[in-house]
Amino acid sequence: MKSKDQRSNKPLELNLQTNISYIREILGNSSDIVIREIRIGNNVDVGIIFTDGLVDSAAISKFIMETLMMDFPQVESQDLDLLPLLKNKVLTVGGIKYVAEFDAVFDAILSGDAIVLFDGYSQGFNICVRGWETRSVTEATTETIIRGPKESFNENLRTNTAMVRRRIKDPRLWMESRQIGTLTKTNVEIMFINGIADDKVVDELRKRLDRINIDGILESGYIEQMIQDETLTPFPTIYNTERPDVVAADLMEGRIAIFVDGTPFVLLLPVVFIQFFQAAEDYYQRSDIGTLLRILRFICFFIALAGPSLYIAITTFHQEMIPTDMLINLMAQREGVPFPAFVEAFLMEVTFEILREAGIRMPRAIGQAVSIVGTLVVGTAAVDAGMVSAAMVIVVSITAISNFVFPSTNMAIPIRILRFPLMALAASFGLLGIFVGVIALLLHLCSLRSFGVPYMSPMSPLSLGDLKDTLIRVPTWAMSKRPHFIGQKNNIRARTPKPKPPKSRE
Amino acid sequence: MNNRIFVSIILISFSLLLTSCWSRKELNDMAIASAIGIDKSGKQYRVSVQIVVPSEVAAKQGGGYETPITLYTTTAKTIFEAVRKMTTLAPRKVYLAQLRVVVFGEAIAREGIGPALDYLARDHEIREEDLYTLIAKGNTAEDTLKVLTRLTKIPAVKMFGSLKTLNRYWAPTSVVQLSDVMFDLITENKHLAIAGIQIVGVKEQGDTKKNVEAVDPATYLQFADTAVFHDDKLIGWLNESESKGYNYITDHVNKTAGHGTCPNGGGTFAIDVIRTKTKVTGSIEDGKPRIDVAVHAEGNIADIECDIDLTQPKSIEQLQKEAGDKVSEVIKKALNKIQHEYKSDVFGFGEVLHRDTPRAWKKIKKNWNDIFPTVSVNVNSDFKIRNIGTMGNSVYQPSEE
Repeated sequence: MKSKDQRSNKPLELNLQTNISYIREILGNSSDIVIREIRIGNNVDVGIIFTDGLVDSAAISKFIMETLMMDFPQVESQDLDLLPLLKNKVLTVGGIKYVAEFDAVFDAILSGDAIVLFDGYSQGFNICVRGWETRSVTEATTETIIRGPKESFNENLRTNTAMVRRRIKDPRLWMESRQIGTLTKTNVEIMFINGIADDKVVDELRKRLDRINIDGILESGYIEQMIQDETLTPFPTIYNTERPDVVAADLMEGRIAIFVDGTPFVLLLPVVFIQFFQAAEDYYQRSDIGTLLRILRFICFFIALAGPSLYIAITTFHQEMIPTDMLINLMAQREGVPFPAFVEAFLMEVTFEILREAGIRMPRAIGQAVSIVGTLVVGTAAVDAGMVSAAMVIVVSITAISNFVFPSTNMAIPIRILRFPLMALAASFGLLGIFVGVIALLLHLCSLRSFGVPYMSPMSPLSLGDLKDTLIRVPTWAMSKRPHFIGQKNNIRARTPKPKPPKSRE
Repeated sequence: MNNRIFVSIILISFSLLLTSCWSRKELNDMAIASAIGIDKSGKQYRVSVQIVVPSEVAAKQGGGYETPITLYTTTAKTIFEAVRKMTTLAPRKVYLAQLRVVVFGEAIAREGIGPALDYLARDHEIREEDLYTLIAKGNTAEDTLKVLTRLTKIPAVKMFGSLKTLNRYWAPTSVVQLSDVMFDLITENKHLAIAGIQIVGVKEQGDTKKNVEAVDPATYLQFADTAVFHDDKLIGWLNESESKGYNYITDHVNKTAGHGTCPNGGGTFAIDVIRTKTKVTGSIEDGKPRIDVAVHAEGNIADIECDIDLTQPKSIEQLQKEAGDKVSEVIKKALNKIQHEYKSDVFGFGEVLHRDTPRAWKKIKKNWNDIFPTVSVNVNSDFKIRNIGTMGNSVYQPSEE
């Protein structure tokens, strides 16, 4: 994205001092802009301009200043133009190119490159000496696993793309870069495997990215919200992850990744509903446990969604469904509870949401205090005080814990939201209300699309071959094809035969 | 467009509120009835409902009054009115969906239980399939429901539990669900037989807490005998052995225990019956109806109290024969009593003849009540011993003299 501002889009002057003062003026004399003036060779004045903190100071002093000031005088310089000579024979740096306009100069300075200007030349050098403090590569905090790679992305775009490149060493892994944000000029890269990813989807993504016109992109969430298909839905239609192995796996399935500088969260698209139930570890462990965990996650999905509403519906409308002994116990617990079951459930759910939110936002140092108070509130004290029944505490707890089972927090959020309308439906209409609510939810899910891919694929529309990685996870040797619903190009993933021992010769 | 969405959201949320949660019942607004007892008082029904006091029953919680149940009794012209009238006594609405047992007093049973059944069948809360029916032998239902029980705090749940176990391990009780009662009443050619329950001990003491504080309660409930009906009227009782015979014929024996006399005189042996199957077939012989009852039973030897060499296949055969004869004997006794004393077709032989010889049945149908006592019944039982327990010969060998 070119800045439309006419101010800086003018060519460099011949006079060094004019250029420097112009730069000073535009950058408002900012204190972090360093302008170093030196004199080299045959008394040529040189100005080195860079932003303190964004550059590698050692590289500047060693590869720029030292070469220019100490090595250069020894080079015979009469027979050549100064600039090509310096570029080709003197400066021992990797990334170097000419700049001739202020536009490029400012971009370079503010992105961490050094600008070298020469008195008497209307051209200068843009030397890549970027080097700033970044968080090191650490273990993933949002998607933890037991078996599998532990590293996760950090805030540095290049580190992140390198981590994926290290996993897929194929020339068909393509990256496209663009800058988004009139102020932030954030680097955004899309990455896909040419020949596997659907070209139409890539084109569509380019179009949607180009449509973005905003002052700043601080996180990939900005991009997600501006390119998603459907905005009126609680369900995520774009996946995000901070695991490089997940990105690599999804690229190989034909998805496209969007890297945004400054955030460890990488976007993946197109996605389907089932993807939010697939943890990276499902594929690293053997298929039997992978399948069991899938099923467990689906059970948890329903508990987290409908746990409290089922409790409300059954205890206030359908008491005949409860075994006598349990009913008597429940009644004994509710003896003296002043609120209807719905209010009781609502109270507990809201209490839990407060605790959870506080747990995330509060300073780490007082975490202990909140968890102690929280345990008391949700636990026995509320029951002893006669505010809620013990059974309700169990229901709310199991609901809350089920909500944490999903590998992706993205899917936990819509469930957390939809739980409340379902509770209201249950309190008004009983089980009937819950079923109507769930059916409405299902219809909504079937209507969603993520970059043209139906959200409920491969279940609806049904694609039998792709069911191998849904409710069950078949062994890796049996997953021979890439998901059909993402792209039809280059569908064969593996041709490994089923492993078996050699036939006995005796 | 936006306006329309806004209006529809408002309307939907109003409709949620306006339903006012109809038919909603909070748990603490209900009184769970565990048993219902029906008696007659003059021309009116006297209905007793055993209500569970949850705080007394639930584990670890104690109230102040310390009886796990309470009994509400009202009198009205119809059962429905009587149940509704209970609101004058109870602070909460009586909830009938968890009923476990329905007990009829002997008096009303002799008058006829048919009219009383309609309400029980028609009410949407009551589930006939899961509701055991009992007749209070020599008593009113009200008194029966008053007796407190040990081990299981709620008497109705005690009865329900006992009936289930009895049904599985002890044949002499006829376990009948309310739906079976209705089915048998509708079935033209079959009469009812319902298990009886009686109060043993001092009737007046059963409803106090003192009763259950003793190791050996002075008053308790016991299942005994089977009530034989003609149409919907009680006409008499079968004792334990006859009840067993009745259950063999109607194929209601799952597991039971029996005994026999050892072949070489003296001493008894006990059999743990593990599986039985009865086939009843009807035929016409010389213009007269004839019923064949074939019982196939399997069992294990449970107890040997005589001198017999179990290692010999021959002795097992002898025991099998003896056990089979014993079953036939039990069946014949029951047949004798029902055919000749009560003259009520509780076995459903009429239904068997209807099924097996439909043409002949048309002729005898009208006079079936007169013919039933004269029908010749051929009993054939075949017993197989599968296992002799964890021991060969008995340790006890009577010394030979």
